[in-house]
Amino acid sequence: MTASIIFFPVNNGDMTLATFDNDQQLLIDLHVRKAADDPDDDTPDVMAQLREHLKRDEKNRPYVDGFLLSHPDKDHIGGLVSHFHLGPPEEWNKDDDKIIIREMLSSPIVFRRASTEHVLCEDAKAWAKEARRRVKLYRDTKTIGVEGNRIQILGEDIDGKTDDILGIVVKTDSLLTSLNRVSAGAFEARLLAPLPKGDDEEVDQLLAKNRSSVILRFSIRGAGYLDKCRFLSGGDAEVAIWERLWDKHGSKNADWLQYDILQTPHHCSWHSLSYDSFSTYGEDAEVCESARSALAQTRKGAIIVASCEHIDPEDADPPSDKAKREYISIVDGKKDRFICVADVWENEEQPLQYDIGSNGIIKVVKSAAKAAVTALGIGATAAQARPHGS
Amino acid sequence: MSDRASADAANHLLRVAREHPECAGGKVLADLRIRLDMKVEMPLHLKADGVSTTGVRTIEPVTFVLPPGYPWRSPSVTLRPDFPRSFPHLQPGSATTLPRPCLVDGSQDEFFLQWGLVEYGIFHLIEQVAIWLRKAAIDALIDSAQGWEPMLRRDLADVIALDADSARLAVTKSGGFATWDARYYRRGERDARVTVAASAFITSEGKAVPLRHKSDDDQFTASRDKTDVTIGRTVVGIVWPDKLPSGKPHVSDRYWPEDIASLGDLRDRALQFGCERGFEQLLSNIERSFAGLVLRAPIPIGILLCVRRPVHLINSASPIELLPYVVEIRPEPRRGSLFAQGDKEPVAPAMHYQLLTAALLRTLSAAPARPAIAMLGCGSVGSKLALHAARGGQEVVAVSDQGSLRPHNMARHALGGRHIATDKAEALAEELRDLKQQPAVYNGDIAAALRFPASRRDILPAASEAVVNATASLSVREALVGSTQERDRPRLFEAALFGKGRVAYLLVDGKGHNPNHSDLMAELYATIDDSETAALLFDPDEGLAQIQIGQGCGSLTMAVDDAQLSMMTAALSKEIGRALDHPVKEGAIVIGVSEENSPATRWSKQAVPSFETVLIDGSDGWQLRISQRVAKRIRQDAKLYGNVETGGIMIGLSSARLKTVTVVDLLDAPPDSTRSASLFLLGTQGLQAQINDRHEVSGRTLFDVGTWHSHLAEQGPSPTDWRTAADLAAGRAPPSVLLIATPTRFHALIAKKGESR
Repeated sequence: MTASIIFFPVNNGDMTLATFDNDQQLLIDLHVRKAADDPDDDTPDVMAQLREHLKRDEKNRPYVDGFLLSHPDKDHIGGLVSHFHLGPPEEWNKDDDKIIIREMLSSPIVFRRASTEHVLCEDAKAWAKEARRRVKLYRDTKTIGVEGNRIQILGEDIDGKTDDILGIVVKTDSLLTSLNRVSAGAFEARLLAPLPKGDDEEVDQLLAKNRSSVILRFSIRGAGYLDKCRFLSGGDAEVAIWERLWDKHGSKNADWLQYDILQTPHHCSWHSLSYDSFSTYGEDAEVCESARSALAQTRKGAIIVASCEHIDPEDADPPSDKAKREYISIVDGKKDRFICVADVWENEEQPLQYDIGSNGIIKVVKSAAKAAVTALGIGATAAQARPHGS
Repeated sequence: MSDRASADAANHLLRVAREHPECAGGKVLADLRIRLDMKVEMPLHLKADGVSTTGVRTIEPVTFVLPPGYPWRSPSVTLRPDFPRSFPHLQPGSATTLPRPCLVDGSQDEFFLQWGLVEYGIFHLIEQVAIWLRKAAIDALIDSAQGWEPMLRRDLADVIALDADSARLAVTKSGGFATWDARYYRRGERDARVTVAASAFITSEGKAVPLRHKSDDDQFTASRDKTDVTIGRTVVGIVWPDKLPSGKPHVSDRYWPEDIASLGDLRDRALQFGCERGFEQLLSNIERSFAGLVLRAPIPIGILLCVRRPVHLINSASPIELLPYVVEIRPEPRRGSLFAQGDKEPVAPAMHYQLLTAALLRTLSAAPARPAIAMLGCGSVGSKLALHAARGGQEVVAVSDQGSLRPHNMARHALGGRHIATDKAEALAEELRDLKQQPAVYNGDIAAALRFPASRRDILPAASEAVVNATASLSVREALVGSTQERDRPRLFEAALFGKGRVAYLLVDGKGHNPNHSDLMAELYATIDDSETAALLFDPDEGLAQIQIGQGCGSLTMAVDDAQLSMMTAALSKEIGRALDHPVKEGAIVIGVSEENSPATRWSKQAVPSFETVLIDGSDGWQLRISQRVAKRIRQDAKLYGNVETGGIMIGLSSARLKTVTVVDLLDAPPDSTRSASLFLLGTQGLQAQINDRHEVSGRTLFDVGTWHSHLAEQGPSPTDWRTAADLAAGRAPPSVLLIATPTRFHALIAKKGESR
């Protein structure tokens, strides 16, 4: 299968499917709005779009090889319970036809109790419960379970909570190279965050709020050729994280942050680039240079994808128009290299997709068949009431 | 179109084009041309430069030209003059013409016209342009997994026909050239030039001939056929690349568009392909062979560059691409060179046609190599079956028929009117020879000839690997069965139509010719369970009893059209092919019935295992042949009456000429029969009526051929059995067989009339 990255139109939220050239598929985050499940509503039916790309196993169950949750906020996990099978895989049932998650990839935040700082939605609670079930299986048996029982924890937890399960933990700064126990070389991903708890209490305090967003920089093989696409994805990580990452890696490992495709953190929020509130400072708000540098390690022709609603300068942040302008400056001032997923949906009625082949990364154009229908006015007679008669 | 209408059409095209997502804009130009600016998606890192590594821009201007007759014809599409030309799927053309992408596989007009709405045609044509450009940008017009895309040579005027595989075989590791004997057909005035007003069709059978220098030689000839047509002999020069200095083969992995127009161009191209040495040698050898000689006519010469590609060609296992060209020599007096204009001498790129060979026909038919067949009967069915086979690249080694073609045959025969009054077999052979076949011809009495080994070989030459009896003749069937030994290799088929062409059957004999065609026919009579088929089969006027199509006068009055006959025969041909492709041990009966007032035809196929054979005691070599279906029933019955003898009536038919009695059905013993441990007494109650019924139901083909009974012990015929046999024999003219089933085997006996033991 051709390797690809698909960004589904979910407005402010993330839902991204990476397909590797060994046919494995990794879903990164999920944001199914209620209206998206309503056939009479115009909101794009992202689950139908996702299912079009999924395969079925020998028991005819739809599946993803992996589901990576960057952090357990509603706009990153909404729709989990309705559409994904949770619990032992043998309890899957045909009538519900939910999607099997062969392997979960989760930050260690699942071990924390909900607190006033971490109010969890129902889907997030379900994710945590399922993750704990899978971790317990591993902890009890010390063996990797069958598909549907597997999990990898991205980052070590505080207070040595993950010390006894290191066999399924990927440490920050190291490489994630396997998906669902397959290490085919189809991709590798540097785990840049969550940042481990340090000695610096002040920084810890600062980071506490969103320490747990997973940041990965993928290097994806295309048609057998290594490193054809570098993809940086960072959930809702905010400015402090990016600043810290640059301080940590900028001098020696800036390469770790380099990308062909960047998914703007936090739906193009200004707060990923600056400590200054836009509502307070307006155009005077200053960019944090280190955070900007962390997000500006482009390869030639790199693009920045904003998974958010149409960016209107008049509307509240996120998405932020000022952030958009900053990102455009990162891609050599080329407006066409900053792409808003909602705008793609508006123009092309399809998710934003990039294929990764031996030649590089190519945007998938609007389907001509679909274009023909609208371009040539098929169904135009039904578009409005037409008076007939005298 | 009026100017106004033309302008409207151009504006309309632009308006529709703008709806295409990859069309960024455009402009109506003069002369019915429309420029469209096409967006080309390409890899991000190339997009940043605005141009791909192959030289395609992110926005490409493409010109659509409305032809006369639009919208009955497709707009033509050209690219900018400096568009890179090193792509496959660029139409051939010289460097001075605008590059034209080849957008569809087949006719672009057909593609454009397939949509009822002109808008759809335009939109989809633009879509093809968009796809073409995207592929060109990443050099993906050739998919190396599929193979190397040969250079486009569609719609060229000149042709070289030769066998591609033979040309490839000429290619050796070290470079060189070979000359092949060829014939040409040149159209155009004597002073006309190829590429302008002359063209040539050169055919070579692949016979290598050295270039000679003799004044009385006929290696090159020219004679005027019609006003502007010359035919004669010439050569095709096959040229292939030298190896590299490293000793490795010269591989050309660069795609060059076909833009050769002159001898100079061709010389440069030969150099690019590493063929220069062979090419120069070829030219100088041709010059030398004409030294001092004069021929006052232009003679077209074929040149075939054999180019080694990095991967195999699409639809071929070979990496050698064949690039044919035509150039003319003019052996005028006081010439400087045979090539009058030197490097400026026009050269025409030519199309390559594959020679007509069995392999070509097989490729085009998607048919495997099949065993050679001998065709018995060259009537309408036989002629069609033979041509189907030959067109599928299957060898037809012999054709036999006693008759000659008469006017009425033209209603259904595969051959045309010019053959009327000639022998059917000879006429068919002539047609087959045009398809490169060399069948033996027999035009005597087939049934008579089959009985003698010498004449049998004329009908079934040693090369026959399958035999098709399409004579619809009982005597041929029996003669064929009777003259075939178990060890004879060819599989035997019988194909025929009856019931006004509504029914067709195919008999396929089994391994070792058991079951044979007579067995199969009896089996068909006995097992037919479809009332409509049975009605047709046993119809006294149209059924099997009446010879339908083939020999005899019946066909004169029989009214069935060629379409019906062809339809049924075509299906039989497919079945013969299938049976040959997947041979099995069993024999088979294939039968098809076409509905009277609808296009539907029902076909069924029944496998028939070998018949059990028992030599009949007391006869002079007669054989009892029992269908396995029946043999099984006898054994089951005997077992059912474990401790007493039982029996019944055997139904079948017999052939005096084959000395066989064939059993394909049983009738139960009448109710007044008695069974004991030592005797089975066959009763009579209702038996006569039962036999008569069975006879009628089978279209009066099957009758009682004898009786069977079981013996409890392993014991052959008893004196009682012999007496009964004698009684039976005395009762009627046809032979009556007594079959005894012991626990392990069958015994059969017969008594001659008036004889008792």
